[in-house]
Amino acid sequence: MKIKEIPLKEIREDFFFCFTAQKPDPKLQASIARSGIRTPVQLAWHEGCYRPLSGFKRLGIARSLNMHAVPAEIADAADLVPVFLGVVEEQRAMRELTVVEKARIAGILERLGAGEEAWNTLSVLLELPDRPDLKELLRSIRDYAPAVQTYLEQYGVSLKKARMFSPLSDEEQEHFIRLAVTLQIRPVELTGIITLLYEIGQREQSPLNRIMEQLGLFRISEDPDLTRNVKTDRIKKAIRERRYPRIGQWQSALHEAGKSMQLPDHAQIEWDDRLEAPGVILKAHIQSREDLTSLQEWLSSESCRKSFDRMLEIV
Amino acid sequence: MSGFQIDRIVVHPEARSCALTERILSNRGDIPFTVADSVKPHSLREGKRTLFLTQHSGQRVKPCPATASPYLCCQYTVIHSCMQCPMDCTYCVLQDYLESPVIELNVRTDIIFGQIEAMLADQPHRFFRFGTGELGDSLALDALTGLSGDFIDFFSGRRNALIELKTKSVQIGHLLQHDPGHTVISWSVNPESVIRAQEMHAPSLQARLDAARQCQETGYMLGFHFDPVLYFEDCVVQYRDVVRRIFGSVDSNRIAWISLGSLRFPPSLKSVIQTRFPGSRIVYEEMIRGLDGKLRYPRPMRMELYSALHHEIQKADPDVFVYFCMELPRVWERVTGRSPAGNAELDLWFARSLHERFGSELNMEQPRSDAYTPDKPPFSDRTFSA
Repeated sequence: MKIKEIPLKEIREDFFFCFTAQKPDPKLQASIARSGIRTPVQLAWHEGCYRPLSGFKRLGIARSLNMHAVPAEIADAADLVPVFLGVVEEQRAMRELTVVEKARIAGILERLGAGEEAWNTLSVLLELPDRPDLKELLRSIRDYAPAVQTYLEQYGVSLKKARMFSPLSDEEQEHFIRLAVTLQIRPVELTGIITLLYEIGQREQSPLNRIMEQLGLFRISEDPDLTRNVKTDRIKKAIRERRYPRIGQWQSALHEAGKSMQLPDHAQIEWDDRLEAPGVILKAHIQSREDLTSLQEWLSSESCRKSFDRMLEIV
Repeated sequence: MSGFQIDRIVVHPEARSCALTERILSNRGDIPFTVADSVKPHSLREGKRTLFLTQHSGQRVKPCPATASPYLCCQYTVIHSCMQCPMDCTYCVLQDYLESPVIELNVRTDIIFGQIEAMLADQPHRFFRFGTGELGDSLALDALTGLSGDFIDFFSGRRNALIELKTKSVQIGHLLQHDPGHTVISWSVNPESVIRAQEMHAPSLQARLDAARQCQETGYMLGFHFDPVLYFEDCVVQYRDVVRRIFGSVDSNRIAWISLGSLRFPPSLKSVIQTRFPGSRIVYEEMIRGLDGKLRYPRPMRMELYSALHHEIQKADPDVFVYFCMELPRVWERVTGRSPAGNAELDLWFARSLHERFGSELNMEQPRSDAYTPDKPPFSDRTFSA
């Protein structure tokens, strides 16, 4: 493909094929101002005009610097679909594309009216999973609130994890991002939090905003007296207790019974957190005859037996 | 009302000349059919309307896959004749368990019968319970296949076996002409509210109980499966009502067994349910990952449900055999006051109960405990050929 100098005024100001976030890039700006554009942009000659396929940032800077022309590779494109797929392939070879970029690429393909074959090519190029709701999911990612898209790109969130936002309203999405940003919550943790809250909402048939408010999540997250870790732990605990209220009650009852046992210092009692494995495990570290005697005395005490009875009622 | 339907029949070339294929094609009415090596429906919903007739010569009669220890299982034997189901229940594990979304029917019943005969001959003193309703509904497609009649006739008069036809369907008219001797017809039951919300295309509870009464009057033994028992507000009241309606509809002397099993499923099914049935809330109840890795209600919740049901059943008829499907010995003990020592003993309990209550009509020999030893796996390590 030949490289030509194309006057800027002949290039449409058109972001149709742009799938990357357009952030200011002062370093690139300075470089172009100093040495001009070294890497050609890609243009498609389509229906009597040049349309940009790549190099949107360079074109923007060239315009801001009042440059006359830019070096460009020209694709003669009666059919823009294969040309665009070529651009995607090239980008993919150079770097990992984010899930938001993938969603935008899918959107461009949709607007071009691409057929099944092009979709199959794209799926292979972007390693998209084979799932019936894929197009719908990509569509919903394109509609995510800008703050969510930024978060997804910042943390390189996978398509699977990016799904967590799809059942949420714009307002709910923004609330979660506020929480994630305030507490620097990474996607894995955020997925857990959103999943639990979503499930609470489904079970209680209650909007997530109301549940978040009732649980005081923002109050905790913005409390200046707490460290980040304490805030995160408290938030998770509050959510878990609401999601699993009965398990929480049984666990509390077990802890209460455990406390009232007055265990000797060298003994401890454990049980399966899920309450599935029956019974409790009593562990004792015996280092002397006294340890053994005190354990025997404790085991034969009435309070110990009563506490065990209470525990065994549950487990 | 049941609302499922078969839209097309696909016949594998190798199954084209089989007798059962001929029968199905002659019963098909205006359902179109084609001959093809494979079927690829676009969705499970479409697959559930497609009947694919195949012929497999591999092992089609196998022990119930059950679940991992320490949960107890009853050593049931599953006949893999039909896989997948035209009904569409939110909680159905087949959505995730079976690879193929179409209803696949193995038309080589001669091979299946041969495999059953080999098993029965191999362990002549063990009483086997076979079933066709584990990977599909035993009766739902009978108007097309007439298959249940073949099984009823095959088992009739066998000394050490019976067949259970497990269903939600009420298509029982054709069964009334067969010898009911060694057949248990059993219904999966749930409160009407659950049926309406979670069991798409399945008949109402009342219709199932009416069908059960007709079968009982013809001489069949009956079974009822509270499986899955779901937890929801008011569930205890509603499940108690189901028990009362069962005992008010049929003669409890003809009930061979009642099973109780709470909702449980592999974690991978959760997203399938969420995607396919966004209106269903069953996956949002409190659940834990059990010792076998499956999601299930916490044990105290299960025991609460089971205790209410068990108590109601005991009140109605203390002689009816009640068992738990995939439950812990601890749950057995707490709810019923006793627990089998293992799967083999549970199998023996079934045999003893059947012998005690239906021994003469089943022409059963007295169950011998040495025929149910845990050391001798029934047949899982061995292969049988026709």
